[in-house]
Amino acid sequence: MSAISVAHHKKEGAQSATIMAIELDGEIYYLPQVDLITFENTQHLQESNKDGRSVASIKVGDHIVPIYCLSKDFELLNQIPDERKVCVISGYGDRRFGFLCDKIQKLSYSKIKLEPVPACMSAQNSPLSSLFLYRMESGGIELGMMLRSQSLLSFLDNSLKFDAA
Amino acid sequence: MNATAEHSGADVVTETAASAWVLEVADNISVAISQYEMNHIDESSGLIKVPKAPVWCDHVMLWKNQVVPVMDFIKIYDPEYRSSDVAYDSIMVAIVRVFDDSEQKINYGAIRILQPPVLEKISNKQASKKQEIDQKWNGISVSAFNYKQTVVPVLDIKSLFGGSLEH
Repeated sequence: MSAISVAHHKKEGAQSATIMAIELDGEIYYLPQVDLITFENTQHLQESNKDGRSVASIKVGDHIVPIYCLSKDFELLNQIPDERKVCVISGYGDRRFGFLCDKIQKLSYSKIKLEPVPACMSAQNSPLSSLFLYRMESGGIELGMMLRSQSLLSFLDNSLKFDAA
Repeated sequence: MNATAEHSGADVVTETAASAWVLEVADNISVAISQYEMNHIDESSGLIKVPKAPVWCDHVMLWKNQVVPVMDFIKIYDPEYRSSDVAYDSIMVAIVRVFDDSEQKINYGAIRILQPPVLEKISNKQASKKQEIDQKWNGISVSAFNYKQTVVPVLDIKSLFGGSLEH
């Protein structure tokens, strides 16, 4: 993995890739903008229509979307920590789901080269899709961990199955 | 590196030797890698945790603009650390070359070590019999040899970092 991307804040041109930086308890994960349907303030959450391990639901268009709460290590939480202020709505195929985060920020990258999670680190049930390196404007190199809607949905499905077993 | 005996003639065994790095990876547990797989010894800080990865390899280090997974045998074979969430301050690692045949390139992996490694000449007369090798090394070792009253497995680096380790 040698390609280093350069992070900027909403300044890049049309060639850049736009991704969302999602914060969970101080940890930052990334989600391609194309995987984001919308995000909402948690004030719009509804207590009704919860299913399985979801902590709430929200109405998006015609859809009632289950909302999950995850720790920074991707453990499903039953209670919503005070820090969770934003509800990220994503989807894969015709399924919609949401999860809560502390902050969300839009970033652009001049280029980004995703690499798979090393084989020795791959777990059967992980929401991580890939890793990448990027250079901060300060010059430092950081590791980015990329989520995708498909990997998140698969992770949630498997976690719920494990809970039910 | 194969520490196997060569027969030349009737009952004459020729002694051959190869160099191997011996790495102490946990208390009373050493492993070996071939001389050519060792790349660098590093004192590493700032390891980054990757969530939902196996407990024995749930951190990476950034080295030469590459993401390098860090393998920690202590978490596999020492029950005290088996499920613990160890926060690494600074650890010594051996950075090894992982040859990727499919892409004709070299990746890197790191193995946590407790002491600086030792380069040893290993004779074929030190070769261990297959039944002497602890089953825990199945799938991630290619052979083993006797060394200081212990049996030291020679790691199959490609399998180790290719995800063959299951515990």
